[in-house]
Amino acid sequence: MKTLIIDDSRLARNELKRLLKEFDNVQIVGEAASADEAKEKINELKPDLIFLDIQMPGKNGFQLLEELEVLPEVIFSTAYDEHALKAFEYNALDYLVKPVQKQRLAGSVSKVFDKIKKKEAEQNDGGENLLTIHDQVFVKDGERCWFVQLSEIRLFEVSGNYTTVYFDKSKPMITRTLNYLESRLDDKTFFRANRQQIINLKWIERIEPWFSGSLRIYLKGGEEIDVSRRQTLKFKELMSF
Amino acid sequence: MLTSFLAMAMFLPLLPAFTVNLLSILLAVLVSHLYRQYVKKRNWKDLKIPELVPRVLMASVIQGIILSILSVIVLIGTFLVLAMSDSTILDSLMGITELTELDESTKESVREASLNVFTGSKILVFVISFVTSQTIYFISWSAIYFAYQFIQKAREMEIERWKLSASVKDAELSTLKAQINPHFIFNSLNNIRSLVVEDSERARDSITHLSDLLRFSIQFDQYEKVSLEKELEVVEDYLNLEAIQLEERLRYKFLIDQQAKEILIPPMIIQTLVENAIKHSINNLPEGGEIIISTRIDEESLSVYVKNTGQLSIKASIEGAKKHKGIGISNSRERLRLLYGQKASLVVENMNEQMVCATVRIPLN
Repeated sequence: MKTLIIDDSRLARNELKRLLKEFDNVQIVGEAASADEAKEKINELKPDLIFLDIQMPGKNGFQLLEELEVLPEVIFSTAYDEHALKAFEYNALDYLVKPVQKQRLAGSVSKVFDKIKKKEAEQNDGGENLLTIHDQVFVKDGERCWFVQLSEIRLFEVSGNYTTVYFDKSKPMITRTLNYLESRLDDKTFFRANRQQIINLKWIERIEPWFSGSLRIYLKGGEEIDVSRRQTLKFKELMSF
Repeated sequence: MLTSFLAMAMFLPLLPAFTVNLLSILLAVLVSHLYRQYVKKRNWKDLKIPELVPRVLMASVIQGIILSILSVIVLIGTFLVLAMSDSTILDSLMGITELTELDESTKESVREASLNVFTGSKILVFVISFVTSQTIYFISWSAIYFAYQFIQKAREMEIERWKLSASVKDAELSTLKAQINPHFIFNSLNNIRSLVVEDSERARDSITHLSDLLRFSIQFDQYEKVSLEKELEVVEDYLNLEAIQLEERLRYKFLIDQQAKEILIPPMIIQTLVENAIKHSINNLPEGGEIIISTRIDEESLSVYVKNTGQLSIKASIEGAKKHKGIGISNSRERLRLLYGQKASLVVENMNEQMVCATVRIPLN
C-alpha cells in the first residue's frame, strides 16, 4: 500500500514512520506538513492510504478531504479531538489517538489492507480515470460528515450551484456541478436522466412509459424521475442489447 | 359578614336575610376580584411601601363606597320585592302587626313616626359606618393579598440570587477547565516520544517541562494569585514544549523588570495570552514568528505585554479561531473583573502592521 503521512509536526511524522517500518505491506511514499502540501502530494503520488492529522494550522483534515476528488483510504490521527470524530454518522471510520498504540495501529492497517485488496479484486476495468462504484467520496454537510461509496448513491440532483446527493436516508449537498459529475462518473452505472438529475441505474425499481414517449423511473429510495425525451432515446439504447 | 347577617336577621325574615347576605358577599368578591385584576395590570406588587399604602387606602375607600351602594341597592330591592309580595311586611318590621286594639289612623301615625326616625343625620351616620366597615374589609383584604405577594416576591428573589451565584461558580469552574488544553498535552507527549529516539537529552528536559506545567495547573486553583516570576516560569515551560512541535518557527524572549517579578497576579492569565498567540498566530504562519513578553510598572499598576507576530483581522478570518480566542480572553477578563473590579484591564489590539499586542493591567493594591 502506497502510504502518505500528513501531520504538521515533524516529530509526530517521524514517530509514525518509525512505527510503520514494521509493517511489510505499508510503503511510505511521502509526507506532508499541511493540507495544501498534502493535496499536491496526493494528486502526484496517488497513495492508497493516508494518515491524516485532523488539527493542522490553516486548513484542517476535513477541509483537505472536501477538496479531494479521488479519496484514498483514510486513517485519522488526533491528539484529542473526539467531538470532531463524532461528526461522522454514517460510516464507522478509523482513527488513532496520539501517542499511537502499536496494536491499534496494526488493527487499523490490516483493516485498510483487506479493504483495498477486496476493492482491487472487484475492480476489473482498472486503468480508466473515471470514478467507479467502488470509489468513495467525502461529503460534509454542516457539522456532519460521511464517507460514501458511489454504489450507495441513488441520485445526484441540481440545487442552485450545488448538487444534492441522495443516499441512505440522507441528502447532503456537495459543491460540484452536475455537469462536472457527469464527466467524471462512469456512464455504465450513472445516467443523466434530464437537466437536473443523474441516477444510479443499479437503484432503479421500475420504469413506466410517460407522456409523449418519455419515461418515468421509480428508484428504490422512493424518488420519481422523469426522463427527458432526448435522454429516453439514449436510455433505451443503453438498455437494449 | 356574619355580624351583618345577624343584624339583618334581627329585622328581616330568615330567608330574605340569608339571600341579601349571600348577594352582598358575592358582590364583595366581585369587587375585590376586579380590584385584583386592576392591581395586577398596574403591577402594584412592585411598588414600594410608601407608594403602595395611600393607593391601597384610596382604593379600599372607593371599593367600600361601590360595595355599599351595591349592597344598599340589593337591600332596597329586597324590601321592594318583599313589600310587593306581602304588603304587611313593613308593618311587621315596625312591629305594628303586634299592636292590636289600634285603629288604622293610629297605626298610620306610628308608621310615620317610624319612618321619621330616618332623619338626614341618622342616614349619614348609617352610610358612613356602612362604608367604613366595607372599607375596613377591603383594607384587610389588601393587607393579606400584598403580604402574600411580598412573601412570594422575596422567595423568587432568593431563588434568583441562588441561580446567579450558581452560574458564577459555573463560569469560574469552566475557566479553570479551559486553562490546560488536552490537545496540547497529548501532542507534547507524542512529540516527546519521538524525541526519545532522536534527542534523548531534550526528551528528558521536555518531560520535566511538561511535569512543571501540569503540576502548576493542578495546584494553581488553590491560589488566588501567584507571583509574576512563578507564572513566567510556567509560561517558559509551555513555550519550551511548543518549541518542540513548532521548532524554528517559534522564537520568543522575556523582557522582565526585576521589581515586577514579586508582584502577585492571577495565575494562568499570561499563560492564556501566550497560548492564544501561538494558537492563532504563530501556528498559522508558515514562517512562524516571534513572541515578546515584557513588563512596565508605574505608580498604580503593573502592565504585562504579550506581543506576537500576526494581525488580529487575519485571525478573525480563520474559521472558528475567533470564537475560541473569545472564550480564552473573555474568561481572563471575567477573572480580572471578579478580583479587581474596574481597576484591571485586558486589551488585545494590533500594534502595527506586523505585530499584535495583548496588554494586561493589574493594580498594585
